[in-house]
Amino acid sequence: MELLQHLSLGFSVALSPMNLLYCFAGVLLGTFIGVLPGVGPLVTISVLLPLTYGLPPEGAMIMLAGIYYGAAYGGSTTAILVNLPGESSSAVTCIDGYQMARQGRAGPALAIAAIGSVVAGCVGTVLIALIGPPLGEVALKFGAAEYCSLMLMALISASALVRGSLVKGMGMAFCGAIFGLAGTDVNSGIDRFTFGMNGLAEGFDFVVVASGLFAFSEIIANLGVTQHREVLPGQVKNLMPSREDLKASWKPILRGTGIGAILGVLPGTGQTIASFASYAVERKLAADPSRFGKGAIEGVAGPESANNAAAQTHFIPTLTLGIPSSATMALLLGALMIQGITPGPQVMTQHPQLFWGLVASMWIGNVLLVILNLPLVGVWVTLLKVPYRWLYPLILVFSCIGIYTVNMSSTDVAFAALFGLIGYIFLKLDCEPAPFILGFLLGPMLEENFRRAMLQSHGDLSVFVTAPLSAIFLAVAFALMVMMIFPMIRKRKDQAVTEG
Amino acid sequence: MFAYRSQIASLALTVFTAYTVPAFAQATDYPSETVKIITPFEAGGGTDIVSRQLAHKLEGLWNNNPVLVENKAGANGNLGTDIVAKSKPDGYTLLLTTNATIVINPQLFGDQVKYDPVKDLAPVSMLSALPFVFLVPPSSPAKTMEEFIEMAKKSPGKLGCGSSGVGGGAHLALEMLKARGGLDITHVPYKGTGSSITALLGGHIDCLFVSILSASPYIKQGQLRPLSVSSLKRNASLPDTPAVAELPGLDGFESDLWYGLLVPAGTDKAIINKIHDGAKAMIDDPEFRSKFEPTGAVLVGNTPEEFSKQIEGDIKKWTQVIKESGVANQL
Repeated sequence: MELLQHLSLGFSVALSPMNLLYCFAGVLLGTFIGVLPGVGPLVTISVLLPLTYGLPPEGAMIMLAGIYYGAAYGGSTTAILVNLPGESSSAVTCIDGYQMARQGRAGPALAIAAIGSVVAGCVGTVLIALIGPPLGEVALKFGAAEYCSLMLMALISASALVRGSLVKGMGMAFCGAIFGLAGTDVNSGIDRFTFGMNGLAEGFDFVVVASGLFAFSEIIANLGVTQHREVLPGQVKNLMPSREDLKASWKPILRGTGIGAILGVLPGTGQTIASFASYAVERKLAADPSRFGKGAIEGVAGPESANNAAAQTHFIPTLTLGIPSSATMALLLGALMIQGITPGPQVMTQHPQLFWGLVASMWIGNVLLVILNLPLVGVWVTLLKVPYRWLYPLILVFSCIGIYTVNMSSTDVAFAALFGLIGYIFLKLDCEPAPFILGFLLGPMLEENFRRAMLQSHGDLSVFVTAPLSAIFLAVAFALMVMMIFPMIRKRKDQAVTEG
Repeated sequence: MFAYRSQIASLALTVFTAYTVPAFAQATDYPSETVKIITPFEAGGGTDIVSRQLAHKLEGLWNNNPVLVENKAGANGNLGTDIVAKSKPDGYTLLLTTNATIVINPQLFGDQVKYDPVKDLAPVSMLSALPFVFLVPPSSPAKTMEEFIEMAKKSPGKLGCGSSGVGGGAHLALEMLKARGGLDITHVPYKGTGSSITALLGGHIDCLFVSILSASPYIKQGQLRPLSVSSLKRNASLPDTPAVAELPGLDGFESDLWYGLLVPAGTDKAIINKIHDGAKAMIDDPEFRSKFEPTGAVLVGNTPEEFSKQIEGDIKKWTQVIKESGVANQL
């Protein structure tokens, strides 16, 4: 009953004409800026943050939240169209989304991403309204040991991402972890792998690595193909997903939503793990896993839904505890402080119109997003008709601008070029960039939490099994490993039998 | 026309102030172009919020002459501070920073800091000081600071105290407490204030120094228990929480976080005074006070001379703490 009262308060705030306008403006601006290559939600919000300073608190937060999902969706759009993820969680979308685009199926890929996002967004918002506060408490249960075991589980389950050689995949993940470790070590404050360069004190930015590894290397590779090459534009078939596409997608969308909603609650790590985990699950459940990486629509539907569900539940720790669960959320909290509201657990009780108005606006925002983006699918796909000799320089220029805006650093642009070269070498060696990205993101967090757990337990390794949650994650990780190794052994045995 | 008028103005100023103000023409023209306030920390953080308030106030005072805020975060704030230290001393580049980049980092990071905070920068005004609050989770057996110290002495090395990061204000306050109190507490650094508060809320660490700005919501909700504040005196917003300095053997304990405004060294004295007057006007503005005082911030707005003395004293204090605790050797 109380919930209904809260929600009606929320909708009365969110549906006021001005707030509806702020919501729409946020989603629109977020989509258009987020769709620029190399520009993800973080950059979009920091660029547009000052726009909201003059608005009332509810309007400002509603608009910023709109910018947030607009930009997240815009980031997925570039991932699908030009193989350029705007944020870590859309790195997975590149794998099959870009392949779909190459096969002339950019339209269905974009549409499924939008549909998956709206479903996930609505479910995620219901969760915030229903069980936000208790779910926020879950985040508190996670200490260093729990995080460490969770990362380990995520990394192992992600070996399901690897096509072909398991060794290559592992190698790429380790390689990514090494690059991820560059920068100031959290536990000691010492600079590692920075070679005395100031620009590396904070480590490599995700956008720098992803632009180079995915987009730049793809461009270099395509320049190397002189004769007939797969041209995207000529083959654009239908813009909307077919009946089969929808049939193949609805289960991944629901599963992705569930995975994303749960993992999104964890500060810092949730959103990234969510999309990778959803991809791994879909691949595992697929009748024919070999289609993945070659344009499987499930590989777009699942991770995109997981990504967006996590984006919603990501608000839970931020709103109920006042704890920023990511750099983007930290910016939102900063915006609250500029509005004169101290973020923290009291926001919900002291400013109910703000809290519930924001929750209600998330529903509206997600619906606006899909209304706005389905007609835009055609526009984005038309962009691909631009000849490559124009499109490539444009992508490069916009990416460089995007990379530069993250830290206002020209060194970052040079690093992105370097990663472009590295990515090209990987491509030639037939090594997948996805495990590299996962290692890059999770490796440093695994190390940080492992060392923190050791510091707190005074070097006693048993903490990982005595903490119940941690023990569960380790058990799952172990089971996954057995499941992966077992078929290999059986295959060898079968071979031996036939040979015998 | 404009130049003519400003000439009259400077003439008038000369008459009134006689020859006490050198280079008066510069000062009266100021500001005639965009003023930049560089804050060496990220958008949305404390310095950013204060910077934007100041920019707004100065624009109003200076006939809508544009005043922009630029966030130049990185390298613990050293990056942005270095940029201002190497800027032209014309009053068009201001630095709004915390004590970290002025009195702590140069001692802590040695050669990595490329500027000399005393030689390269001129103080304008210390704007505000925020004490750190020493917090424990409600489940902690320690109800008072004395009890906590006793607990730490009974089990040396067993308690874990978080911080917002190695070399940050919260870490140094802890090192000062350990050194002054003779305590053996394990330092568990986190990536930022937010994640350290999460860890304390979840009971994964035993204690934490957090700036009063970030701590007060959790104290008001009863989710975290304040045992003491790091300022010399009690804070008006937490009248029942003693200062660490009130405890026996810890007298004089002070480890605040302060926000200050500086300009490149060599900036005209009259320009410094004009900027100072603007900053002081913001501090004295009742609307500003009503916004920031409830957060526990102590608003200061002292003169360049007073600020300069404060910096001198702080450098001495932190050099000693950093040397004694051996923090710099770990880096």
